[in-house]
Amino acid sequence: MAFLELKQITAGYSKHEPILRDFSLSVERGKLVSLLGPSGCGKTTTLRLIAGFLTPREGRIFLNGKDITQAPPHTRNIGLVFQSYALFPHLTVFDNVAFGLRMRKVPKDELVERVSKALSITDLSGLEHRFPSQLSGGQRQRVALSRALVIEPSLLLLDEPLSNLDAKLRVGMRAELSRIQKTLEITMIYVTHDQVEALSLSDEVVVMQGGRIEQIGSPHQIYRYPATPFVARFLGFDNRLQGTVTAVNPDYGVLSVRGQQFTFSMKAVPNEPEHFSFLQEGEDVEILFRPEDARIEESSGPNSLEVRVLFGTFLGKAVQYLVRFQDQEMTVLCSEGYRFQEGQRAFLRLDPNTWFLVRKE
Amino acid sequence: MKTSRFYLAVLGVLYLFLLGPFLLIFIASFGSEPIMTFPPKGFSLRWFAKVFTVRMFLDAFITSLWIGLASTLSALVLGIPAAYALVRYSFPSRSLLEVLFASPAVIPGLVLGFSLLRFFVLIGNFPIVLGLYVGHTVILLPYTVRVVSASLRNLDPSIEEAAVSLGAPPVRSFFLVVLPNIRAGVMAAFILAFITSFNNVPISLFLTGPGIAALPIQMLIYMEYYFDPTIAALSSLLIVITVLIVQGAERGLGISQYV
Amino acid sequence: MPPAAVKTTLLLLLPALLAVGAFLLLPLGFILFESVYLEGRGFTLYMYLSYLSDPKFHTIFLRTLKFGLIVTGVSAILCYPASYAISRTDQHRKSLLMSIVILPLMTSPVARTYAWMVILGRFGLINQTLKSAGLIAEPLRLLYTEGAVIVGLLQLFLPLMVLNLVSAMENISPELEEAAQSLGANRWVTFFRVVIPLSADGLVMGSVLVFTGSITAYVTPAILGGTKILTLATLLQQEAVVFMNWGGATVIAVVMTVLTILLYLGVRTLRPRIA
Repeated sequence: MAFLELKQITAGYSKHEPILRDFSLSVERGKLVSLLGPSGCGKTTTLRLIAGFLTPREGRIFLNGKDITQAPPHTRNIGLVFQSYALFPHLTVFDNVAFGLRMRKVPKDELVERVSKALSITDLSGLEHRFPSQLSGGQRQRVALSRALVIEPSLLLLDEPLSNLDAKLRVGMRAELSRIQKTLEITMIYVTHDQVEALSLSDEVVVMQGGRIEQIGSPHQIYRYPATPFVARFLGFDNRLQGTVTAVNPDYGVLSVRGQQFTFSMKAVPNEPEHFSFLQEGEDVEILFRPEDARIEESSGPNSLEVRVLFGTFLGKAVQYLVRFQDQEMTVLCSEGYRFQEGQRAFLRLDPNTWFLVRKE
Repeated sequence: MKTSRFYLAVLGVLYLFLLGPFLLIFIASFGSEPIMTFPPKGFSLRWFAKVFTVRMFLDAFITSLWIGLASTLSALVLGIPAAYALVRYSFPSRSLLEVLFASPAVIPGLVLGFSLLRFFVLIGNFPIVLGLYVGHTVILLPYTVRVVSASLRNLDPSIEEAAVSLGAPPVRSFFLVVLPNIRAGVMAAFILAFITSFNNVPISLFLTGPGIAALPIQMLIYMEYYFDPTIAALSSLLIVITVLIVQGAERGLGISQYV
Repeated sequence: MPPAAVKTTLLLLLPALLAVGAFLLLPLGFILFESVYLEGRGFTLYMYLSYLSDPKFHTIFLRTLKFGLIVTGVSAILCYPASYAISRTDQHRKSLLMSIVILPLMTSPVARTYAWMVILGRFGLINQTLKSAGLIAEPLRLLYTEGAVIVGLLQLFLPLMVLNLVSAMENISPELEEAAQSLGANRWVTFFRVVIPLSADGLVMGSVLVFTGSITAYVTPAILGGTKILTLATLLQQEAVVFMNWGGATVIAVVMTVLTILLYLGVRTLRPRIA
């Protein structure tokens, strides 16, 4: 059994439809796992389930071998970092962090030492006597983190902890969180709707939607080889092109996009199951691809399509072109500066190694 | 910022009308004549002295004080948990209950006092002082529930969960984490409720008997027989005390938002 | 809701529920019962019919309603500009102004009303001033008139209206008025087209509170109206305590309650946004 096991959980809030149905999840000790998905997908529900604020209607939860399904939340020794930080406004930073230790009746000397250590890990030394209202957003976030860490929990749960910080702070805090997690070797479950956060922090990403797991994998796997159309679209495969399969054989396949031919290798993409196994001749498909994975060129070539450039937006590090092929519009990111004018004809070149094929619904 | 003359004039008239009478009664209580006249003739503090010698005023003051304290504390003990349940939990009959707890403020106080008199005292032989206590507690409940509810709504519910996740059992987390943070609301509710009870006439009017009379009722009775400035002096004292309490409460708690 | 939480909720609410049930609903139910049950006759509307058809009751009833309407109307008109001014001042001044405004609501009603006796009495401020100015020879009878009661009620209820209006106006962002002015509306038009409609809820709530308060007020009509100018409230007290006419008293009590509840319900249905 893994360190944290959720087995066939059915859970929800009201009498009606449960949010999670027959939901199972395993988390290895010492890993940082992200639950990634849009709002309403059940990721926060899962977190609250683990913390004990929600009791499942069916299923069991095991932590380190013990069945904690019915255990009340204050006995689970699981650290929680809330989106709103939930700092106690009437207590100083020191008392906030010491709270959990006081509940455990830790003797004074040890308490002071542990709190000081926790505060120094999160770079808050010197702020012990301030109140939450006197702290900045970033400082409050770190207090919330220290408070959860100081009790040496078996598991740390974080619910979108960085969403209230401005962009620059967020990047800094991400690195901090990662560093702390690796240093303390603590098992963390991190809920977010931001794919960049999930990809940069996690050992493993669990993509969720509608109460179900769409895919579990390493950040690299999820990013490069999405398993379902949902995961693909959620992770930036913004463009789609309609096409039809014209030929399939064990080594390669051929697609036709309004007469233009696209050839691709049938050998399974490394580590990924039969990516193209469903293809049959005559099948209508959609090609999903990322703006940064396509190229625009002046001249034709293999796997390219003649398009008209509608306009380009300068983004600083790249130019984003909006192009049109017949009645379909797509965006392409080009890092070579302005090369194409409005209205100019160009060629969109796709790379089959980076696209995702979906059966047309 | 509207400094237009029109607004200043309107405000001036309003505040003159509201405050003027208080000033006048203050001035009138220093007169030396035993008849209420204005402007008062002479200057004397004898009426203030008299207030403290009139037995029934002292007794009534003590009664009002005790009833005020008892009913305010009871209304808090009843109202705080009720407010918590109304704000933190959702259940089908919640709005009905909110109306129910607000109803003592909707029902005319006079009607409530009268019905308590009929029901408990004349029919059930309930001692009058208990009827008074009970009546005051009930009319104070809407205040405590409303004010404490407002404070609770302003408190992030996650902090209770944070406390629980750190090891505090739910009841303890209420005392450690919720109560300290609604302290201002509770104090405001206390002051508001106590003043309401102390000044209450409709309930106390009916629940009065031998030896039991609240101060306002005692003042009314006195006024029926005597026309001297004693009442003016007592009124002045009460007004001054009220002003001090309200100003203090406003500065410390911003009580005007709760009224 | 999960069963454990249901139990907790019930536990938290039960004491307050019992208090309201036993000490409000029960007694009220009792007098309602008393008003329709006569010894020997069983359930009957006799008391209502006999009491409500009495012309003296009509006078008092209509007078009470009249007071309510006048006080509400004057409050609404006077308090609108005042509340607007208060809501637009800075925090510091507003706090001071508001703490003064609630003073009449917080002071002993007896003290407050007595002050009017000092002003309106035979040897009170007004009479003394007029006499020394040589305008009158004999003191005017100002006390124990309808006017006295109305003035006394105003002092109590103007603050209540101000409270409701100020809170309603605080929710109107000054930017809305600035937007209107940028579109060509002058101060008056802005007031009538933007501020008043947006504060209408506060006006309605304030009016209901002031009206129901006025028609059920006791101390003010008792002191300033005496036995000459009776209102429903003073009539109730008279019937109950002086004449021990329980039947009549319960009828008046029920009438007052029904009137008040109907007004609240009326507001709730017409303007559901008001809590």
